[in-house]
Amino acid sequence: MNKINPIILKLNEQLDMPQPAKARFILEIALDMKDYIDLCLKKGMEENEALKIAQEKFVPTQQTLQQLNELHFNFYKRWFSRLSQQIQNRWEKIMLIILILVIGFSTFITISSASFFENSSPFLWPVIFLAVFSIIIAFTKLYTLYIKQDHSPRHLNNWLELLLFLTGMILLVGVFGYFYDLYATNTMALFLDTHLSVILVNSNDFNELIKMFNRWDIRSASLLMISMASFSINLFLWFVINSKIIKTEQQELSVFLD
Amino acid sequence: MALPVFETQNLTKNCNESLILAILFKENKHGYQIALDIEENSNGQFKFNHGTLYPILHKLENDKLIKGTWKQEGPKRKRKYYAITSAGKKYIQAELSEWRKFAENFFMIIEEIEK
Repeated sequence: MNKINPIILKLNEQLDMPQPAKARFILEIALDMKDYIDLCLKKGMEENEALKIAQEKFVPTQQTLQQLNELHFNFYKRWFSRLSQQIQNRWEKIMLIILILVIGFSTFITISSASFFENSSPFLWPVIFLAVFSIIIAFTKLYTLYIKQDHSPRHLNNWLELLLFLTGMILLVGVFGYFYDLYATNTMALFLDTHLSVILVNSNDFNELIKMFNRWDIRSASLLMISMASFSINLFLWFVINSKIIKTEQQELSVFLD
Repeated sequence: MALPVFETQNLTKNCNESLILAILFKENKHGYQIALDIEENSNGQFKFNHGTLYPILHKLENDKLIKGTWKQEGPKRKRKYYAITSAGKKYIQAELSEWRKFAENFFMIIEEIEK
């Protein structure tokens, strides 16, 4: 197997696809190449000759390499892969953890106040449901990777895209809910403006009106806060899981090359 | 999955896809075995360069016509085996009738020289 290492290393450099896909493809091609070389040797061919033919037969051309890269690395995958690979430095990781803790803590303090759920936006509940669901998925994945240590390539990337999808949905529902509330509040304000003389009989009524707008502001802001916090925490969990998967795949590849 | 489109510029692509799907129809195989079986079963007529085989396999997998599964082979070795999916079976059956039509039309023209 050591003889094919230079070919595999060169292929590793040429492939521009996510590490997990790359590791699996290299593993696949290397095992097939080894079988082919074994067959050639069995037929009485010399090792160097067998190696040369195997290289000609197995190493993809520039055109097929490009096809493979495009197949495995679309714009969305490329962007997220770069994002998770760039934050690998220890200090960057620490900064990221601190940032998430600050967001999580400040959100927790706000949520724990008694008035938070009293005037909640109807969009808050889907956001909470999505956040809880994605956290269950993330923790199940973390349990599988770190405690159960199931590193089988078949299951390694399971749930990862769903986690990203839920993260996106949280942000989408939150932002949509915020603008919906804003729209509803302002539509109501316009309605009241035309009927103000009927509604505002005394100064107490005016104060109530101001309070009503305050409550609307608070509920829209709290919805957006919960969405942003859940979004950040989910992205952080995705980053941790994805980094672990990349590391596992790299280990798998290096064990194989050894 | 859309049904196969037979045009002269797609012939190589359709031919490669049909050969791979047909070879996988009865048994699950890994990449090297697929290429070897196609070569043997065609008496050496269809020789697959592995460099071109993998992009086709991965594309078929992306299109959900075949499914790749890593299986343990020996104590330390894992191997990726490909299996045809139900969508793949439907696709190859549609391709088969398209190939028949293609061959009929092709020979209808070519055999004119013998008449």
